[in-house]
Amino acid sequence: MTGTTFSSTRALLRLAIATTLVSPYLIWLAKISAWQWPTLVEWASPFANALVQASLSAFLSLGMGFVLFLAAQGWRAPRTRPFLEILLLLPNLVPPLFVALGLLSLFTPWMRFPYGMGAVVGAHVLINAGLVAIAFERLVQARLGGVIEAAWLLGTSRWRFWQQIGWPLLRQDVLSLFLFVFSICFTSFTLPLLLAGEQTLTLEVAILDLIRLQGRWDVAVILATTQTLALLLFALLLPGGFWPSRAVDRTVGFLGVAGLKWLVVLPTLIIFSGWSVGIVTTGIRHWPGDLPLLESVLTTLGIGLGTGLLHLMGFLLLAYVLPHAGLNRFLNGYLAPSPVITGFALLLLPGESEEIQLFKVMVAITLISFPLLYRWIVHSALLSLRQQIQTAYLMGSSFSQILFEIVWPQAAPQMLRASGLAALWSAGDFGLTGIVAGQLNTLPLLMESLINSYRLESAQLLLVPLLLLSLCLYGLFVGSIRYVSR
Amino acid sequence: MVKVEARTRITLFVIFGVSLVFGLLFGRQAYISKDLPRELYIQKKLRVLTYSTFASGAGPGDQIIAEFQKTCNCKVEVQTAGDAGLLLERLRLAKDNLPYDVVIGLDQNFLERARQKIQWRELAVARDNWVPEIAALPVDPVFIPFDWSPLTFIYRGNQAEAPPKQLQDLLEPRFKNKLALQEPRSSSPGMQFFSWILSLDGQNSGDFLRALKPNVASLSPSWAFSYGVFKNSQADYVFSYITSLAFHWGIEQDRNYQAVQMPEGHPLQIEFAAVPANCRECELAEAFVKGLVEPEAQKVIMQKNFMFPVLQGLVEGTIYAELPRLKVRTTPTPSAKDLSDWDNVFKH
Repeated sequence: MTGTTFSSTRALLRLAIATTLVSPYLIWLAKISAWQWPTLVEWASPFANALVQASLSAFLSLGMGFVLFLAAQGWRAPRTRPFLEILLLLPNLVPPLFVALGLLSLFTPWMRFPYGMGAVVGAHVLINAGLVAIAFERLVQARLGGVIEAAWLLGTSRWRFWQQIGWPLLRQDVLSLFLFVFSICFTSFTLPLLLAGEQTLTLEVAILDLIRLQGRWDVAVILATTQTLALLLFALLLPGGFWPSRAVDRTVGFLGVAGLKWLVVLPTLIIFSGWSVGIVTTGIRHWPGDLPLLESVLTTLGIGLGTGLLHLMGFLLLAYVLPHAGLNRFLNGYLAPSPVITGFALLLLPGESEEIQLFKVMVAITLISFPLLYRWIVHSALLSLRQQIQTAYLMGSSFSQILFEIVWPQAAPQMLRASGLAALWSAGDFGLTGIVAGQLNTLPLLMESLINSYRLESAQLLLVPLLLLSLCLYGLFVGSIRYVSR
Repeated sequence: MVKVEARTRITLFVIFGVSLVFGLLFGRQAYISKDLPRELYIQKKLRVLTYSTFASGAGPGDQIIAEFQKTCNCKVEVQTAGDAGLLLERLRLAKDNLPYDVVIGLDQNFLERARQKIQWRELAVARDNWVPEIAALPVDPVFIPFDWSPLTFIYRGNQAEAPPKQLQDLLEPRFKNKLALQEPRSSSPGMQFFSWILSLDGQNSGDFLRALKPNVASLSPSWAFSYGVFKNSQADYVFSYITSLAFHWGIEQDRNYQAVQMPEGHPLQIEFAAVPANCRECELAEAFVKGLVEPEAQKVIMQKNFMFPVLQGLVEGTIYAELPRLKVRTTPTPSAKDLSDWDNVFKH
């Protein structure tokens, strides 16, 4: 391949990646013939609500995540680390419906449930704080690892350490982490729908209402675009990815607060107490015998694994076409439209056999989570390799040489971790799978079907295999890190 | 040496992963189609659009479709949408590409919109053996009812003292934080509740709702969530189908669950099936809809959808015969203005 052909191929691929990611918008642009602007009432209040809700959720998730990080450092034994990570991740795996019902179970014996913004923010904090704590640990190990040891030897107090060293060094990364959690909460759908009550309609809920009740796709697409543009703007104003480009395993135990160490179980405890209260209250009286459990497990596994692999392929493709400032900026700010718009856009594409629908589910989930995971985990790894890749290109290395000798050995851990998270999220997906291929039997859809057939307690029990399956998928990808980077 | 090793590992990893995905997909397909004859793949295809619960593992769809396929010499392909609103949108969007032959699961609240947005085929379905509640409906050759249930408040007898005897009783302070309702915009039972209130005293519905508000423990976006709230004992009464009792009494063997009976009459939820005018396998589609109101399919609907059959003579000897017979009343479909009255009460 000549140099010119090589760079045009990469340019074309860059265009293809960007086009694929924005394809839901393009499909709707082609489909909708008449456009009408939303009225002020239709967008102003939902947009403001979403903004306030996401800001509060992100701010408090960061605060709670930091406390959980300090608590986690109280556990010194190395063998506890994998369990801690699972414990912190678990709340993120529980389907939002069960989170909401669990919270209701815990509150209502004592007081009327506080539906509204507070409830949505509280639920978001519970779900995301563990994820933030894991991110903090990676960050602190990579950015402050050596300094912590020195500070400890010099007898610096923890407060002084954070004030004079930790915060100044981590400030930009924390802002980036804020944007990540903000993006997740800004586009969160189920929890605002269930817990916001009547007063706080958010943008995602408004988009669904416009589609279901009025069939106004034009206005819905405009609202989704507004949401994406707002996030793009925030992303341009804030710094880039924060996930350490290289895994560093340093002792940061000095920062741990032993008195807080049991706090690490708090989010999981709250969510699972609510869940078990539900089971105890209702009791299992009848287990339906004819459930397609095996088929559901296989399909869920297929979706999780396929989505994880699609992400992995996508990250490898990015390694081929990056570095490129424009695409990088786009990937760092772009967010896919709401699930209902993305899902229906894929339904407009030809192909309706079960296999194709299964593939569409994987693509739909990938379109939504890929930019988020890239920004969060993979971006900084590829950024740190920029100079090596550029030098290798200049010296005439082929892509396979760059991929196998530079990119993969150094960025595989981040790519696999991000793909593992994608697999884990997709295994528990209700929304997009329900829209794109609701007739498939997956564990989450089976749970939904049981809930709709009065069997809430049976659905709650199915949460156990779903969690195990999700963790296995995550473990498969993250466990591969050890194998591929040995 | 390092180069070869890294290359081998990535290649192996990707190949292993991709193979596993395809292995799972094909394994799944082989598992699903293990009893299907080969001829199935060259037969006519009937495309059915329904809501996900109907087609799901716990719903009646699988069994009804399997029975139909035994006799139709065709393959039934099912597509789903979350609820009646999304069902209509999916149907509308599919109009230009690949149309559907049968739509299952529209309710009264969406019929007008369905009529406006989609052209439908008229069907000749015998109505001579329908139950009185359904036979009393105006004759409609397009939308064929296949199940129904009156709606009321369900409660646990051992928890609720003196249940309400009439709608007005619901406003009493003793019901404070006791009721689980649904939002009318996102839930059909929620819309039915609101239309019930409107049908009783449309002029003063706002006042009624304002007085009711303190007694509402939870206003949920879906029936499923509000029933979950009730089952988890976070509300004493839930607005639901009277046929919910068929599940508790019949499947759970728990007679503690009871239904409130109001002298004013109760709203009725009816589910309809229809055939779009642009169907491809129109005759098969018509046969399928007719099959839905045959005794065999109706029994499956009773067992798995927990709704009354539209045919007479099927409930005898079943738990449905023991359910209280509620007086029903006609209720209006709330207008946009009515819904804004609801908003005025619950959004402020």
